[in-house]
Amino acid sequence: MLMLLLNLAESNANLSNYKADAALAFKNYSDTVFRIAFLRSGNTTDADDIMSEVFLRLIKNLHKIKSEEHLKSWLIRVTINRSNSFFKKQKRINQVRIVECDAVYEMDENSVLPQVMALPMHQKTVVFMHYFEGYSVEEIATLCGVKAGTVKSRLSRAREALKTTLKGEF
Amino acid sequence: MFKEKFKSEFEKIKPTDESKASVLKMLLEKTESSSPAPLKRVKRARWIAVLAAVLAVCIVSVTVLNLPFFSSPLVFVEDIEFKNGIPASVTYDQIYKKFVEISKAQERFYTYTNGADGVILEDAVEGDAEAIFGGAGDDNGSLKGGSTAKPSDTATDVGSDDFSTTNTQVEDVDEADIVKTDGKFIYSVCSTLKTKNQRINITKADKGQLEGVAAIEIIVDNNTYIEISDIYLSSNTLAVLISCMGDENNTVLRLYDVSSPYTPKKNREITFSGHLLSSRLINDNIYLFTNEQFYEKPDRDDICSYVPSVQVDGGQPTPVAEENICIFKGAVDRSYTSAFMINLQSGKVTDSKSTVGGGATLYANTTSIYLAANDVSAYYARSTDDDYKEDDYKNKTRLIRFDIEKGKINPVAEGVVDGVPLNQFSMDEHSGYFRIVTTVTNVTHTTNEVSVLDKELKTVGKIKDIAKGERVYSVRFMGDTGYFVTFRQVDPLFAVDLKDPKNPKILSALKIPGFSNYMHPWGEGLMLGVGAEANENTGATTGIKLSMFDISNPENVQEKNKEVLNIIASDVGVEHKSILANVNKNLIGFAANNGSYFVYGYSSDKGFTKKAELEIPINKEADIYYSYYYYMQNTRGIYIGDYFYLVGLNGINSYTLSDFKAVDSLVF
Repeated sequence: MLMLLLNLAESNANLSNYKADAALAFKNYSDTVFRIAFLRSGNTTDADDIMSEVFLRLIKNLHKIKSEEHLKSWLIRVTINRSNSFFKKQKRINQVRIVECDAVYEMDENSVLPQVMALPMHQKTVVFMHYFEGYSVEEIATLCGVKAGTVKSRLSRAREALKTTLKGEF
Repeated sequence: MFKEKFKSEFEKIKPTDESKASVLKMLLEKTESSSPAPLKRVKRARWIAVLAAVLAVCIVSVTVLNLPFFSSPLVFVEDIEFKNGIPASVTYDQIYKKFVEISKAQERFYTYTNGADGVILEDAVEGDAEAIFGGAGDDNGSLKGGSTAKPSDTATDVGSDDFSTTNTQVEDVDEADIVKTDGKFIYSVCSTLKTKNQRINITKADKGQLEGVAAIEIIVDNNTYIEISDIYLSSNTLAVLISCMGDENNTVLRLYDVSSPYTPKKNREITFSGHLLSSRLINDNIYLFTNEQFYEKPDRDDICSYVPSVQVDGGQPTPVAEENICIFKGAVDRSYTSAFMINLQSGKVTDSKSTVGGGATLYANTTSIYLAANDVSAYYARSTDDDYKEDDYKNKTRLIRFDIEKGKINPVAEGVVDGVPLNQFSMDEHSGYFRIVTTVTNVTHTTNEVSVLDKELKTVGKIKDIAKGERVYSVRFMGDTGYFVTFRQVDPLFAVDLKDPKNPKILSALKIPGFSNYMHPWGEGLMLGVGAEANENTGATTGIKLSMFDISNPENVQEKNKEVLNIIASDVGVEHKSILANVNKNLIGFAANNGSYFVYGYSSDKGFTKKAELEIPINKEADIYYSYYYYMQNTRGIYIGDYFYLVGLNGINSYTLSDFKAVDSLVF
């Protein structure tokens, strides 16, 4: 099903440029968007929701996108925004329930992912952007709309925390 | 080394092909001109899942990582006089000072809630609440195919006096829902995306014949997320509760005069700051509870920056008066739970009370309202990590009792119990005593407790350590006996004797496979359970299960009959209002996630019998694809006289009640 749709989008037949662009953007960046959403929401169900919301917003704003680089940074920004407002809404329900977490990754004793997920929100976002996406401190600062110093301090705090928890891995 | 490992591990995280395909399908199918983002009724359970995940992360950080951010001293209000737990008087200034204190303390705890540089605005939200809802009277309800219908058509011979009402917990206490009827007209909330707006459809239902008479449209701003939460209907007044989530969370209550349903007239619009927690309708008074959290630093000159406010018909926001605000000792964050009392006839806010601290679950009867809030003060109370006391990690619930007997909302008592309640059914008041069933989680151990409290909310009786390692799935109190279900692999249904408040005791525990997540009294000596069947060895659920329990002898509760459906989910456990359960009419109706609405009957000799499997009205040509699950959540079955109506997002189907033959259908 997915391959069929992607092929359809790529072949450009019967599709306006507009839709083809959106489909291409989805093909290239859905994983990135999903990962950030997962990082910030902590589960795949919400990440799915955030992902679809982000791409619907993209359709609305496609005419504003200037370049491939712009597209990626736009998507990252909007994903952070969307998950923020999502998260902000959650915070207002002061309720705890035990729900079964979906096991999306296999963990062994030396896995680093759970430790990264346990970091505070801002810290894990910069860790992801720096170590996974390979953005520089300045680029992250522009993307997140904060000062470079803030990014640096978040990164160093995250490193410190990871150093203690990962014991030698870091 | 970390980098490579992190990369390889994180690369495994991606959306499933199915979810990718569904988003892509949506993108490709979406018409180019349609610009507004889609509106969705967010499933509340998902919010909770996120919250639980966040909490899990916090707990892991505290226990495993020993991160320093939970190690600040507790902020108490020393200069406020407490009388029996209730502060004698508070001034705006005291609140301001306390909030400044808390905000300083919180900066050290929550590195991630730093609103100032953490939130990036993608594009500004245009306009405020008034602009979103348009000016006065421009959306008072448009006639839809009603040009031939005259207001005088509201003759008394239409409809019937025998009709179903929303399934509620307590008699005489109405709860808001998405479908209401007065026996003549059906009012239903509809968020089909054809119009991109949220709507309330008013449909005349006369002996199965359906006729759309009017629709109230709520205009939606593109950048603000609006959802009609629920509606109330009480003697010619339609009350609409709207959640508005933009830059700020607001709750809007609109009152419409529907004495002539053909031309509904907007009488009043009241905007409350904060998001809707819950509401009840008791004797023509709506009790509305909101939660509001303040993130920004308080501004001394702007009272609304640290006190909840009310705005009537687009006027100036009025902050809740000083004398109506109370801070309880356990309050630790800058959030409020506010209670508002609105008289439906006069349309006036007759009382408002705000308490500092976030509420979560609400139980109300005609004399008292109990508010349960998650109590986190113990976390903050620890000054250092060496101070570890096992008790500190127990989750706790703070209870507040509001007295509503004297036409006002008076907070009269405060108390604390261990654990958290599952939902409103976990709480009950009977002959002067309040009972609550909670699940206590202490980092890794889970147990369950039953507590009995007096009117002052002091614990008088308690059963501890029930069903270790399991959690509560459903609770129902019936007079002197309480029933609750815990579950891991098999379902123990506990019956608890509460006759002696000081000495509650477990009468019996019935172990059967699966569990019930909603229980409903079914006539004399019987109780209906709706839940899921589960594999005895693995605990994996296999389908919806209906159980009939014989509770005539609480010391020996038996599962008399059961019926298992080969369908995974229904919404009954999450939303008790979605079930139609009526003993006299012998009706058990609920929607399932295969696109069907099931109607069952029960008789003691034949057990459960399927009366009908009806198709939920779905508009397959809608421009946005929704799952069956979403339709299931938004479908209600009601009856009026001898006819049954299936009210969904996209339309209404009517059937005869005797043999469920289709009579009429209407597409919105």
